[in-house]
Amino acid sequence: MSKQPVAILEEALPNDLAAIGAFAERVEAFCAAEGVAPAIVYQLNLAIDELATNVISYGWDDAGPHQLQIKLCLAPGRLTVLIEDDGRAFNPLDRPPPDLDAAIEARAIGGLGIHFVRQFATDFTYERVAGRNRLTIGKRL
Amino acid sequence: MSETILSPAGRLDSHSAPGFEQEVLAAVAGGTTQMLIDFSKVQYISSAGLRIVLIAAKKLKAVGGKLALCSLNASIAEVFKVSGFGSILDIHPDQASALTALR
Repeated sequence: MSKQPVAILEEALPNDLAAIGAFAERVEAFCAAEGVAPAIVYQLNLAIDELATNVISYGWDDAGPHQLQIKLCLAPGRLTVLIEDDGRAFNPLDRPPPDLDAAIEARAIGGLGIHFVRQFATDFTYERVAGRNRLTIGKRL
Repeated sequence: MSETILSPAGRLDSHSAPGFEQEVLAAVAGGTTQMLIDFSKVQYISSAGLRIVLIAAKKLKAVGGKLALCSLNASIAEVFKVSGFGSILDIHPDQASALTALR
């Protein structure tokens, strides 16, 4: 049985919001080298940004240094993103969906980030494993 | 009537949004009633950036003013569409048409 080629990008990001933009550039370079369409790369970076921003903003009680692990696996026809952290248990899939039709005055921003991830992902799961949050986002290409 | 054009650049994300929020709030506090946010130098926006656009829209509406946006790249336009903002905000292809709508 021949093994399909899989390209992997794996990094530990510090709990610093500035690290997300820098990582996005590396995701762009990685995906460009693998021939992923720019429109998909934008949505991928948006999904990673929204989830990583949540973890960095709300995951830990203390201000000390922490890390989240991000791993991208690109196989023929499928992209998988794994995001893991040891912060407080948080399942973003529990968030209620935003009201997309509300007028400006009534419109709230909460839930929009997760809505973007749901729009992008073919599958999206959350697990709490051994004191860690693990998000898995799959995308059929 | 007082008009302000804001031209943020680069990424409008959770890292840069607080700075952009200050710009928006300072403009409104300074009496701006017609605001144009020109996106021609913005490559990327996340929900944190959209939040500031929503704050601008709410603040201006509260003072009887107007907000217009222009020059969104295709990916950013898609983010506005998916968020439902495309239908509640005044979005234009270029500055000229946005300014005509504001005045």
